[in-house]
Amino acid sequence: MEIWIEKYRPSTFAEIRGQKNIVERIEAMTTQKSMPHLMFAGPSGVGKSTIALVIARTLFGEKWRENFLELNASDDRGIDIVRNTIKNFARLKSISNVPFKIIFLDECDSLTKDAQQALRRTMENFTKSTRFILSCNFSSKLIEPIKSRCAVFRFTALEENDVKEIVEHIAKNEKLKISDGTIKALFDISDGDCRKVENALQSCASISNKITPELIYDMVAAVNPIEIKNILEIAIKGDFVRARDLLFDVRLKRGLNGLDIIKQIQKEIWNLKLDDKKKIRLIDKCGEIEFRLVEGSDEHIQLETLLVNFIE
Amino acid sequence: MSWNEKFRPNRIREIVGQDNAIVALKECIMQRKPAILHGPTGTGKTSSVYAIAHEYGYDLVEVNASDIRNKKNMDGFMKNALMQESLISKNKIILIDEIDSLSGVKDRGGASAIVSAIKESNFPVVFTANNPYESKIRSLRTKSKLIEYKKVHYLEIQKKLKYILDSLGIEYTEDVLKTIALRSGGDVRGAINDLEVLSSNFDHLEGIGERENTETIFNILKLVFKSNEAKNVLGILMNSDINLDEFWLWLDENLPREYRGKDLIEAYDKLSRADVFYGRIRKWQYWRYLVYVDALLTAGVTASKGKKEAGFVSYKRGGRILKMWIMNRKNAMRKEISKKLAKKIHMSSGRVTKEVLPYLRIIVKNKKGIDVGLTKDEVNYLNEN
Repeated sequence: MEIWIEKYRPSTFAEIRGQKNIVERIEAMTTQKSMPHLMFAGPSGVGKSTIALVIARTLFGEKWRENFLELNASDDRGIDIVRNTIKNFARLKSISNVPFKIIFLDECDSLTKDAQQALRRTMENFTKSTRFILSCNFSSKLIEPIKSRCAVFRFTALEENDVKEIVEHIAKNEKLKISDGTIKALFDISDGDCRKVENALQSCASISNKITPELIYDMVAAVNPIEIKNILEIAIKGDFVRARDLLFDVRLKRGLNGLDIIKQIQKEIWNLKLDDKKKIRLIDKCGEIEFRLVEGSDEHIQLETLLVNFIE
Repeated sequence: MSWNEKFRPNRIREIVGQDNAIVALKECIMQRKPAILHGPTGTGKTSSVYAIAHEYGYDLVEVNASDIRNKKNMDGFMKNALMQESLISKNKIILIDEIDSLSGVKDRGGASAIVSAIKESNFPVVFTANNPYESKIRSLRTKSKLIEYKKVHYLEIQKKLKYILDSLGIEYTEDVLKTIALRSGGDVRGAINDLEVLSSNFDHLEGIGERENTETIFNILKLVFKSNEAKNVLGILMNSDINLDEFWLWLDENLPREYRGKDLIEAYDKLSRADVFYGRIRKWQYWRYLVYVDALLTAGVTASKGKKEAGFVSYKRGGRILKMWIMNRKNAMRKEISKKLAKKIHMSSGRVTKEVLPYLRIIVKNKKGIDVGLTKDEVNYLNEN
């Protein structure tokens, strides 16, 4: 069995759900075999990588792999590695009737400012033979000179109707029975992220081919344990040492960084038994700590500082 | 008593991984020939002298070279120690530790005084040195046999750690021991210290790791926590030679044991602000900010406490870094899996870990094979974790 997020990844423009305007404009560019550098900004699981891949397939046909280099800025750390790989790739001329090759650089917002400057130089050096497609969650994290060299496309989260079409297509193929309310449930838990929809659907399908809203919600609960809530409650009761040790263990066990934790805490604050004034104070504190997290050097110190404010 | 003292070898066979060196050392002692034991710290130089003395019934006279500041001092001390036959007539070994730490102008002549003294000695003399090729002990070197202690193999260290935990009746997994042993870089003492710290963190046993700087850190912590006036503690961190990162871990670990309520919130806020300045130093290499880090960590924390409480609190070393390291090794398999998947499904491995693996686990657990190119081991890992 294949993993569905790959199995059901669209390979043509027609199969893509959502992002209508973007797809139209980009399809037009590929027909003319001419395009500028592109920047895709938007939340995850809404089609940024997919569209980049579809562009490559459409332009280069069978030979798309030879003409398309995919790098992930948060994995292929170090701009030097990126630069060398890019250099080697860009040096050879395109072996197709398209005058350029494509470099797709994912998660660009994880590059430091220095690395972005270096990237900008690299983009200039290879403009003749290559086009860059940069993808990121927040375009505000990229420096102006890079943005100004790209046509920027802003992707939006999927709508319920998009999710409906995706789910129905998969259900038909995998012979799943989808009961009433399931699509709404999937849309609910997904934040408009197609990857979440498909992952949740596939793991539910591994249990039963009858998919119900209850199953979906149970699945999400199983995947996102309520550890954070417990930790916050322990802190509220005043056992700070235990709370912060648990928090540290959870971070290690799940490979979560400081920001992941703050996001979860932020959501959980509203589920705690505290008066509203305190909740708002804590939300404000979350923001302050998130700011310090970015500026500071030891994430754990910052998280502890947040946690200590929960003590009643 | 620290575990290192508690488990200091009494018998030669308890010394791990230094068989050749010990044979040579025994020979020197029997023949009353001076020996210089050299090699990295924590490999058993001092311990093997102890063990030999104990096993063969020698008295051990221990002299720390850094205690003997000059020739005059040395002369008196050495002559006494070396010449006196004890009346009860037990044999003696003279152990002079850290001979290469004879330092600077004050020690001028110190080494040659030792040389002339050992010539007349009735007893075997053993030196330890971290670096025997130090020029100021050249004269000594030519008169002595050099015996090298090598870094101890990690499996030997692991065995030793196992022995310690077994005899204390503490439960463990081999994995943790192996990690500590590997991390020690051949330093048995260091490994035992780490083991002690770790076990006290995992099982809530009392006990404090024996570190070089422990005492200094202890005193500074006490001052910071107990002082009445913030001004008194200003600068004590800067004026000591303790590692800032290390101090930070100690402070973080012990703060909630000492402060409560509003005081704790305020103190953590100071730590958090200090960390922001620290981050800026790293980012911009603007080291003047260190003044603020220092002030916030010392005076800031002192000033946060409303009422000073007397009474002794036993401070612990933060085990965070070690835990992190051990976890990283445990998570190596997960990392491999994420990396493999990342290439296939066009995501970064970090994202795969967070967003895809939790679902994949469930699919695997429900015995549905999934074709993402994982090995059997990797599938098993997902199944179990």
